[in-house]
Amino acid sequence: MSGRLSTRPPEADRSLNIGPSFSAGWLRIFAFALSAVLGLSLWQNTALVLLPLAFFAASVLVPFVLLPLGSLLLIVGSYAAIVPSGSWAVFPYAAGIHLLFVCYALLLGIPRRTDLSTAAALKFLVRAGKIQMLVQPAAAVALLVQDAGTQPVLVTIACIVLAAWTFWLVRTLRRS
Amino acid sequence: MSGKGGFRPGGQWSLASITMMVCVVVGLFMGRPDVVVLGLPLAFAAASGWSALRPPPARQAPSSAGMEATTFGIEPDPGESDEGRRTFRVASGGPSGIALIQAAAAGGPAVSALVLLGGPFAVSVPVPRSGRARVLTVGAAALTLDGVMRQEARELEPVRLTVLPRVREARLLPLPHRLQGRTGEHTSRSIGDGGELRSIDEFRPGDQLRRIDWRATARQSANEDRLFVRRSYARSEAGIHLVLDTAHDYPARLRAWFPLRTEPVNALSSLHLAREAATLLAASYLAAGDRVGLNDLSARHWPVRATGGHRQLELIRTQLALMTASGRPEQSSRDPGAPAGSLIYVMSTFTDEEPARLMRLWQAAGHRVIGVDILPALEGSAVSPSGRRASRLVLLRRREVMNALAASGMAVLGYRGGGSIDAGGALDSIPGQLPLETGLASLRRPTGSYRSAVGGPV
Repeated sequence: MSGRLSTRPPEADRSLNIGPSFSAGWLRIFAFALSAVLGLSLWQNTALVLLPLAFFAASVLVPFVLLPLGSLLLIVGSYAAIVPSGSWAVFPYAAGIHLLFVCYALLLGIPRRTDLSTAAALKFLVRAGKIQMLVQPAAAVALLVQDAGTQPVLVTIACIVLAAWTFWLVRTLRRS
Repeated sequence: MSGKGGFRPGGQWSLASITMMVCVVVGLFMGRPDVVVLGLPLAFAAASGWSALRPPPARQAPSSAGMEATTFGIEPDPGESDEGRRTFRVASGGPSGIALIQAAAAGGPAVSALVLLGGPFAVSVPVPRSGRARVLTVGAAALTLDGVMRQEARELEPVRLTVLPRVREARLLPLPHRLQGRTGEHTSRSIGDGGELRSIDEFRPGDQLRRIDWRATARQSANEDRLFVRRSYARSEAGIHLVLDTAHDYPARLRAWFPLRTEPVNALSSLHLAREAATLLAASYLAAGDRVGLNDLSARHWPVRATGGHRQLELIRTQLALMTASGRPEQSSRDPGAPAGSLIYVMSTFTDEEPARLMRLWQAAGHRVIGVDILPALEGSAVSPSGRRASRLVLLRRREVMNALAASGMAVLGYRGGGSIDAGGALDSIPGQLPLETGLASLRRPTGSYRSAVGGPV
């Protein structure tokens, strides 16, 4: 297991071989960093930012479903309250919240000291990517819908294109 | 709430469903389609949970349900095996998904990993030095690729290993007071067809013609009226009886005498040394054509009848491997016996009076008896003061028993692992005690040399 990232003691390292892998600790760090990035960009210049950060840290450390749920709702609620309507931030936030959910879903189901196979992590990412292929166009359409009063024709065309794209994508993915 | 193939939604499904619904409600309430879109990816995860809970149509074959039950199995890895360790692979199969596998070696920390179903999972675990032990327990569960659904974790059949004690041989071995039979490699005191010359004598009725020594006849019978024959000693075999004291199994680490958690299976202990010493003696005597039997001092295990041959060695090794620490019986049963004229080896830690009592009993019955001290050279000390006091009392008692044996003129040799067995001053060491192989060589002559192997006064 050369070149792997791990926070495990050497004895345990020697005993397990699952190919290229990394420790769940790195997933925790990544999930915390992602939630911090999503949250801090909303609450910049706020002194109370430490409070949600502590909440995010608890979410990745304690395997209790209410904490990740609180974190996700905190970010979604703050987005709805702070980000103005029609902002392009919907694209990174739609991807970021999805990725954060995947991380939480993994962290909730595994013991504290777990190694993650790189192949398994890639599989998770690929599946999330496929879903994002639908979500990101939907986000674009959502931006256009908010301007429906000015460009109704454009919105209608976008909705039709999205429906066609969804139909084609689902069909292709099912076949593969 | 079990879905298809044993998969069921976990807390992750609730996480996805609630977040998605909050996004939709807030987005619709505020007239913000972009907020609704934030919940869209979570809707896919929530939907997969709902679809799994929906019962499949009656006509749909189980295999087409999309989530068949996964299979797990443990198999030994033929490629890798380090010294004292063995590698096992956990094979998984089933539909596309992720396997969460937890493996724990006996006495070691559990390791867990998330791998693709069918992906590699190899775990290396320590194996016992000898004997039978459970070396690996594995629990496994499967997760869907979105992490929302999971199967109930299930325990696989634990891996148990039986390690036979290694075979070594000693060259110089003591013999019993009396040899038996007409086969074997030892020279008996009775006349027979052995190889060692006893005398050259006149031919008498009953002598075999092939025993006529023509040179002696030509030299000594000048008139050619007498024939001379060569008389030789008979060949005989020794009857050896190995008696193992399985009442206690003392680890080498004093801390492990009062364990707070399970000790690793490969730790050095007195029972392992007893198995090794017994195998050394059995292999050595059987190689010399003798008969070797095995018995348990506490009569908790089936005895092995004394006989010879290579298969007897395998039988003894297997029986030794299956012997476990079984305690001293509460009620005294019949004392284990031994065939008449046997040389009896008693392998014990001598921490109580019972082995010494039986040794005296057998000696009084005319057997030659040799003790083998199998307490490992102790390391460290007990954690608690009461533990230290208790271990000190046990060792003092042991020394008292050994002194009494020495006073009775019975030899007790040491087979105590790699460390020095006479580390002067240590309470577990017996001054003057000879290592097993050296002691066997010194006791080779049946009489007169006992004292040299007994050890002086303490």
